[in-house]
Amino acid sequence: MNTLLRISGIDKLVSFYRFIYFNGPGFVKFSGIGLILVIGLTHMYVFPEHFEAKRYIGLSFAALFAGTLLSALWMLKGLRWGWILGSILCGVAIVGYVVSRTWGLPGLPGAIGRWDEPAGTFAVASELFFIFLYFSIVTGMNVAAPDRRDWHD
Amino acid sequence: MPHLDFPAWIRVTHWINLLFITFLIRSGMEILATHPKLYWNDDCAGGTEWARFTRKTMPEDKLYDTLDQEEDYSSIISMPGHKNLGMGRHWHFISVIGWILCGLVYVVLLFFTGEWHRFVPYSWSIFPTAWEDIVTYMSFNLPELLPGEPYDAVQKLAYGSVVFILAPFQILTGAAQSPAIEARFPWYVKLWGGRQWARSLHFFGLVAFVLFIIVHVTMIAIWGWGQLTSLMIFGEVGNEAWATVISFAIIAGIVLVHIAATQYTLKYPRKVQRGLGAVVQGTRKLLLSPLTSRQDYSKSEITPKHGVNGKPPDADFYKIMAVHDFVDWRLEVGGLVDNPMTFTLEDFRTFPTQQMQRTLHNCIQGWTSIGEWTGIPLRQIVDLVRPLPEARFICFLTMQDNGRDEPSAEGAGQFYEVIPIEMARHPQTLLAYEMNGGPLPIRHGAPLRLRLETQVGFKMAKWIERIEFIDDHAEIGEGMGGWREDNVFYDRDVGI
Repeated sequence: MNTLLRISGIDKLVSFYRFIYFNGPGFVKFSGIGLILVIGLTHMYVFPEHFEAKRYIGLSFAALFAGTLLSALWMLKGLRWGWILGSILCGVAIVGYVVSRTWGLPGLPGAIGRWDEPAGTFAVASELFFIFLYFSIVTGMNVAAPDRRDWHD
Repeated sequence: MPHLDFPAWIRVTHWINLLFITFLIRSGMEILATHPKLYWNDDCAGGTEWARFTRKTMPEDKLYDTLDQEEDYSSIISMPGHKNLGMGRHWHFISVIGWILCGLVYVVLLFFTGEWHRFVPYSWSIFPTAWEDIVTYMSFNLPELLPGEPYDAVQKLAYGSVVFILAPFQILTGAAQSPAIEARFPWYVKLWGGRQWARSLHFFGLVAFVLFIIVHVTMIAIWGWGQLTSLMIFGEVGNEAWATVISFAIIAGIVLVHIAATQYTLKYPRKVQRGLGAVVQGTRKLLLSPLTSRQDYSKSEITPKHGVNGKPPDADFYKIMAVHDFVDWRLEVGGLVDNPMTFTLEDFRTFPTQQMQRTLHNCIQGWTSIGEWTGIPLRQIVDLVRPLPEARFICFLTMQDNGRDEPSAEGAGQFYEVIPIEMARHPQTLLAYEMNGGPLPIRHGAPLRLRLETQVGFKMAKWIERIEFIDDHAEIGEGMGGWREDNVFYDRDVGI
């Protein structure tokens, strides 16, 4: 990741990023768990109406919810795959939301242009934040339990 | 409820506040840069910080001190930038004074004119209304304003929180970082969880203000820049084009003031030190100088590894004295006194009046440690030597030469510090020769150091070799009252 940032030149633009480090492994871990569960629950909150509109959409929400539960469990156990799964689920959810509002999804033409769904806005914001949180772990800004900082000075 | 509008005093204080808050943020970043680590514990043990804003890592195979950890931030985010803590402090404290005065005028007029209704909610129903407003914002629509008021529920709560909660919070957490206030009222700093909690909370306040500014400006743009700036410039929705131009001109003007102040500070630091210092020192003298230390931390609170700043004298004469447990060391006390005296370390150890105190040490950089100090109250020495009436200051000359001993120092020459003679009479002003129950370690100033508990750490001269009573310090060094004051433009009296 760091190599990618360096080659692309982005690292110079955001060099201030390299000055910021946090040491709250427990806080980060439980923030990630809380966030992914909130994302899953948000989708379940709107599950009934979406299941009624188009079954496959509802079922995909349910699948996403199940995925967030698994992600949370893996994170709780201290497995990095929890974060990876969570990020993938968030990415898919964001793409799905954008596609549904732009090109449209099969059988859901009414969703095109409907950016004014508060639950949708909230979910996308949470998903982006989760992805950023994992990005911050991968790039070293944050550390998630069971990992610890190795600061000696 | 009175008609709520935008009278001239609201508009003027709004833009003045913008100037001060931006100076506070930038100068606050400069202060953070000098010790870019935040802790939850007052021991500030290396590696225990919850955040660090530096890429530096310290060596494991040689001695380093906290001066080596200082960061060099760009002038874009810090005022003036580039390791200028002294200048950053001057700008921070002058901005504090200006911001508080502006805020006081604002709050007094808010209540005097009835305009406080715009910020203070009348019933708990504002919270469900605010929730509905948030849901509306999340649907990318604009909520309704509260009936007869200039804001919606979220805005009312946000602005009210900033004025009545966040601003006082920053003032109170800032005050909790004053050595003078901490020393006189130890319960106050403990109320915040300790000095480092106060520092961390103060940092959160900085972040909150930055986020508020970003959201505030974004919302102004979304709601209608021309319309809303017209209210904040003309007091009514008038010529939106002119309001837009003037608002950008004001912002550009503020940016230019920042640039000019930064350039001037970097080019003429002594002038800024004297100019801003005159106002800040006067305020300190009024509010903080009367405070004396009454600290009594428990033995269990002593920091296992007390922080260190400054390197000991790297000179043969000192090393030879150290090897012989400083039996050859002599402290000369003279100058404008009736009875100049010379003391040995044994004299101090057998002095009839000795004092032990456990106090919180505040480095100007922001780190802290709690230590136990044993020594002779300085007032006892003052009584013995009998200063002449014209003696107004005490100068502590040390064995440290910064050119020789301190590679990180911004300058050379003998380290010295000057204090007003009144501070010598404070109950916990001590000449310490023991620390934490044992002989004073070399790195902490052996054989003798000053403890001046209402001041930041750099005033507490270490490796003392001579004490002089003087009438003025203008002819010593650069005349600013100490080595750090001369070379890195710190203030002389540093109760905060």
